[in-house]
Amino acid sequence: MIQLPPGWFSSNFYYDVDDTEVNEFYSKIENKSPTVTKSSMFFGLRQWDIFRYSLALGVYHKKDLDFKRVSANIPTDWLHDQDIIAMFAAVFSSKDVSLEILQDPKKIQIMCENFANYGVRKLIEINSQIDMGNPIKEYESLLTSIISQNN
Amino acid sequence: MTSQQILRIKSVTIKNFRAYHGDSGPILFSRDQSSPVTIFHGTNGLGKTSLFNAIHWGIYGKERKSKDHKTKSEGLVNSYVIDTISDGVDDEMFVKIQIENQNEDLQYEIQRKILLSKEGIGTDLITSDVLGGKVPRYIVANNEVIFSYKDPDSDDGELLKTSNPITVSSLLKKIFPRQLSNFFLLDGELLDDFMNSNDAFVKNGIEQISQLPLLVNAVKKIKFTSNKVGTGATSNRTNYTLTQDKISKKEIIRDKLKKDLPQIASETSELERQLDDGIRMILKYDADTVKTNQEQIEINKTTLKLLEVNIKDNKSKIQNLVYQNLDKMLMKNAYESASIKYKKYVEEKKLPSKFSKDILEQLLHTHECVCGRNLDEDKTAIDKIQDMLSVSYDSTLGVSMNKIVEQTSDIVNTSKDNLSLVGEIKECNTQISKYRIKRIDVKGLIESLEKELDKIKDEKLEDIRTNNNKLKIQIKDKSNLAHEKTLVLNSLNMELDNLDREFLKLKRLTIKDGHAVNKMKLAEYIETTLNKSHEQLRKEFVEQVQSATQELFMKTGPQARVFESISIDKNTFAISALRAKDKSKDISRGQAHVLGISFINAIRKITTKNYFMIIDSPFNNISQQERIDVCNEIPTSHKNTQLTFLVTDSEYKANIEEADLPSVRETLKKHNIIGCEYNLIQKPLAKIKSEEYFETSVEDYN
Repeated sequence: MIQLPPGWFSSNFYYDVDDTEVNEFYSKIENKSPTVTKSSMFFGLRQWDIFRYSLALGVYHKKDLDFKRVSANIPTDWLHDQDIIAMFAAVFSSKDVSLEILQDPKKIQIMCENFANYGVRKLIEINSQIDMGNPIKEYESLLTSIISQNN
Repeated sequence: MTSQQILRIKSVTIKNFRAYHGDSGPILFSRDQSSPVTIFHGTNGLGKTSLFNAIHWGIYGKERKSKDHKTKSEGLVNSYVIDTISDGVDDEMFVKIQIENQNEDLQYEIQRKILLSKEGIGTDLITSDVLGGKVPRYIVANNEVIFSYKDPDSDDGELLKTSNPITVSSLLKKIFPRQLSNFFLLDGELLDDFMNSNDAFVKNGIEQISQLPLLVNAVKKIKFTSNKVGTGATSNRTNYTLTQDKISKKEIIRDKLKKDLPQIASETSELERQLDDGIRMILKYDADTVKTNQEQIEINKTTLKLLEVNIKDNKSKIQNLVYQNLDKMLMKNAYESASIKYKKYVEEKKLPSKFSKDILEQLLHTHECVCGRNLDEDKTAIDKIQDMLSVSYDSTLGVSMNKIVEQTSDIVNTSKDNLSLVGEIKECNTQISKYRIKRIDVKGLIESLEKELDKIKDEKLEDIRTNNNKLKIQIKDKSNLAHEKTLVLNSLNMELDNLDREFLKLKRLTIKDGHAVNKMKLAEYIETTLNKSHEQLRKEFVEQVQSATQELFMKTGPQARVFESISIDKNTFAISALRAKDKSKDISRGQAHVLGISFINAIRKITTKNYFMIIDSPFNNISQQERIDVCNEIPTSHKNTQLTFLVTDSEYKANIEEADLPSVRETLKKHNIIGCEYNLIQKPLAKIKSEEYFETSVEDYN
């Protein structure tokens, strides 16, 4: 288990609460948030899983989107190894990032939040296209498409 | 006519009969053919009629009927005998008649007797049938009769005797038929009975004496027999036809039944087949079938669930695969780039280690190296540590970074095999498709089974049951009908067997009836012939009697010349004299008297029986001339007949001087035909207290 030094990240991560769709997507509102929607791939998962996928999509599209940080609502207590690894990969994959960034964990957080802020919109988009009969169809297609592109 | 049977009274003995007291001894009757007349004369009331009745009683056991039909209070037995009978001293009354033939051979002897005794003291008068009158109660009377007759097979003159009253009665009836009594025991006062067409006694007597009914009776018997044969024949013929009809009708019914039975059997078979189908249907959908069906549904539902679990599992697997790999694939490049950087940091040993910032700071503070060397003395070392501090990190972060590097490397390495991931996902999808197809099949199967189950539970099955019950009832009805018809058929067969037998019997009888018909025709012919013969004989008999009567009457009848002919009714034998003029005028009593005697004489003349003839009051109510005429005629008209006259003295001896006519006695004497002549004399017998008793004695006239 990866243990970051206490207080290394702030206690909560931010998402764009001003954007209603984003806000509802992260919240625990049924049929709005995939974590409480049974048909969703994210049903029963953590907000961090949405954040990690949003981060991945942002990284995939190589785009980030800064936003006004009103309130931090994703508690770092619930962080898993895969989230940390993903966030470090996202940060260190940038050419202009060096090991010194470890001295500035705040920057890592902001970079990841911005990638995720972009990626969450893509995720919302994909999620809105979900086939009720096959809720992971879009994700599956995306996965096979990426794999085929890579090969 | 053939030779006549002549019977004469030889003697009559009387004891204690009415006016006659004591034993008279044999009173002989004339048996001389030349002087056949016996006379009993006396004054009125002396016992002429008693003597007549004694003979009648002797033969028939009863007195002749009296003209006035008065019931006599006095009995048959002399009143003195009755009044003086003593205790312990029996007495008797009897009449004995001896009868012989023309050869003076004794033929019959009749002795009828009443035995008398006194028993008890009752003096009140009671009517006694035996004694024929009222007698004191103490008188006991018993009848006795002895009949002696010549044995027809013996010539020794010995008479056979019988005292059995029934045998005696039977024998006497044959010899002296009651109907013939008019022709040998004649009451002059009753002569005009012969003119009464309603007097059956006369008619029966004439028929008995003439034997005319013989042919009629023969015809009746033939007719009766013929009718019997004929009735049977008609009955047999009718029964034959009826039986034939009956057989035909029953055969029609039997044939119909024979046709009906296979039809019923066929209908029953069809119903049974339908019932079998129904039962098979019910059996097919019985509880076991339902259970099996339900079990099949359950199994398939389980299979379906399993399939759905499989699908879900595969979906979950895909989801997991996607979820586990998609983020990594999205960041594949990022992981690879980061991983390269990490490798570089590792190679450059820049990665945070356990000698982290804290340790370095500790080193600076303690100035003591791990090897124990004092750093304060080595400024270079201190500078180096301070350089290191500028790039050093918290030890926790150092540990984590190592892990991050390691796991990132693993991700990168794993993601290289992404084709197998696709294959795995594809395999899952293939499985899902396969399971889905299978699920469709299983769902179809469940649906089909459920439909089948629904069908079982459907009302159709109930309809089948209802229909089966109806079929059972119909089969039972048909079976009952067949049973009933079979019974009727069996019964009919039995009836037909019986009828066939009866028919054959009747056929035989009908053939016999052909013979019977011939017999009937023959009988009819005989009847006709006999009837004609009877008519002829009757006609001849009547003509002969009529002719003989007319001849006698014309000779002896007073003023007979006023009559032109005598007529006898051929049916009733009633006789009448037809006047030449004044046809409506009645015949006089004297004329009727002579006509009756003439009629009797005529009948006796032409019949075979020439019996004695006893006439009481033969000259009653006729004139002296008529009496003389009758007497004059006797020698010729009553040839061979024993005649006995019971006459009053006035009729017998009177000499009518004014007319200068002889008396009857003088006339009979003139013809010399009186064989015996008796005078009846009354004598005083006794006087008991104020009661005087008399007796009549029969004394020879001379």
